[in-house]
Amino acid sequence: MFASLVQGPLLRLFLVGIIVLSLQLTLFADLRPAGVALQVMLALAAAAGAAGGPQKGALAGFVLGLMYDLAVGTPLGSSSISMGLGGFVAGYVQSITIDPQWWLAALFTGLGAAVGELAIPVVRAFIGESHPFDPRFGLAIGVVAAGAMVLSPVLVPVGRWCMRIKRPEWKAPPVSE
Amino acid sequence: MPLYTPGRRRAIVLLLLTSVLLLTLDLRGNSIFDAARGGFSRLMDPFETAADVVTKPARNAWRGITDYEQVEEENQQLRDQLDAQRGDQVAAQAAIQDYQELLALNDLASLGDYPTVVAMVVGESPSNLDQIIEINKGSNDNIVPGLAVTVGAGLVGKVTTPVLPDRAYVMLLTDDRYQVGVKVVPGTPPETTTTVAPVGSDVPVALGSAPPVDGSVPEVSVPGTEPPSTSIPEVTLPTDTPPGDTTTTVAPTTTIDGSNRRDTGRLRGQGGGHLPQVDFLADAPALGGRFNEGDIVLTSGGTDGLAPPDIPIGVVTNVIYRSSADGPLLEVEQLADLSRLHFVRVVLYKPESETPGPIGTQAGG
Repeated sequence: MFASLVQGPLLRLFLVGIIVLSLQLTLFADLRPAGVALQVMLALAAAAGAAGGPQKGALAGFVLGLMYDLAVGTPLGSSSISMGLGGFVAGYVQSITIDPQWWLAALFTGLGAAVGELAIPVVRAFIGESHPFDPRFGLAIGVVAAGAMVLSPVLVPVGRWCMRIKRPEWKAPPVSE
Repeated sequence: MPLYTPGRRRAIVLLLLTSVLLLTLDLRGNSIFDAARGGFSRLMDPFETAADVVTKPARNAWRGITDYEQVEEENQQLRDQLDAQRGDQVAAQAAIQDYQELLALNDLASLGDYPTVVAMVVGESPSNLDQIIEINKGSNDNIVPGLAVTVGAGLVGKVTTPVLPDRAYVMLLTDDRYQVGVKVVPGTPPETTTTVAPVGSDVPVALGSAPPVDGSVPEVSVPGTEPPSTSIPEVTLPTDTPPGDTTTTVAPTTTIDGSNRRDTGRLRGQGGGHLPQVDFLADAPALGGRFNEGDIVLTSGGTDGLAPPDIPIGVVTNVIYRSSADGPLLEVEQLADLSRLHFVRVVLYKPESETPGPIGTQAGG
């Protein structure tokens, strides 16, 4: 069991998650393009999904969401659901391609991040928090998605390393005689 | 063996169910989760500090790029404001002293009678939905959810869950879940400046000061120090000097409502980037036309409120008259600058409904 924990993705994800979470709470809490905080933890979950598929994206989102909830004080599990959904969606759309180009991975990461950000008020509504609809939240979703796309060239390889995903190796078919 | 070998769907459903289970347990209140939060917070501390130091140049550069003009403009405004307030301060101090003496004379509790805890702001919510900050004091300092949090300028918000032994979270009054009972009292309307204008001149100058030679326009206004129902009639002051240059007209613009009216309502946050609003529950239609820009909004206190009465919140900047029977809606600009909080004061106040004796006997420190 210990070996599976060390060799599995959780330890790497936790260590990388701590670093990214530190950046989220310091750098990205201050850098607010158009007044919107970029969600780099969500972007990492979506990037893991874009690199490894829906299952790995959901797992990454779950773990990163738990860490986020523990650090920020939001109800434990609420961010796990939204980030897990973000990772799942990014991975689901990734599964339509065999080996996506970097720009396609960026697009999937952005889409996953947008869905994850959109899911936050929905999850909060389910637990009884009433957030009146604010048109400005549309801007927040757009900026979060754009930020995730911009960061994806860095985050997709990081997500791939965390989740121990190997790039598919394509070999030329043997030449028939 | 990896942890996620079960079928894809089963694994994802399992994760979802785990999240829902954790959410349910946490919402019902769970000491294990609170301990986990405390432990994780301590684990994160060195990483956060390191990230704070490493990323500071980048954040400063970002602020330099995005905020430079605004900071310069604000600096100029603050200098002007400081000049104007030097005079106000003297009058205000005298008024406060009188007020405290009156309260003491009548054995009434004032805000200064409640014990407070000073806390440092150690973080802000990275979320785009919540308006929450983190402070470095918690349940070890008798902080409980619901307590009012203030700065020198006025109310900031209230303590929200979870409260850890050495950490707590403060919901700012701009958060769209925030509500507090308030009262609205007449303030100084924006035009409240008593002026003396020389005849033939379009430029008003301050009463009691010599007309400036260079034609600049100084204005003096002392909020809250005007006597009630002051309305100065127009007066023409004849002098010996030739007409045209000699007649000075006192053109008053100050009319203050001295009826001691006080209307209570509920202030609700509207989310980041929006001004909080006050609406009124009872007798709403009768309130039409009673409010003005510049009216002052204070906490109303009350038997159930966790905020003591008379904490200043802000000034009314816009009065929205609604056509239905809902009554007016007031937009309030908060006095405290919520974007630059460094130290805050948590007021350890228990509402009357929770105190066994008179509130004055509970107060201390």
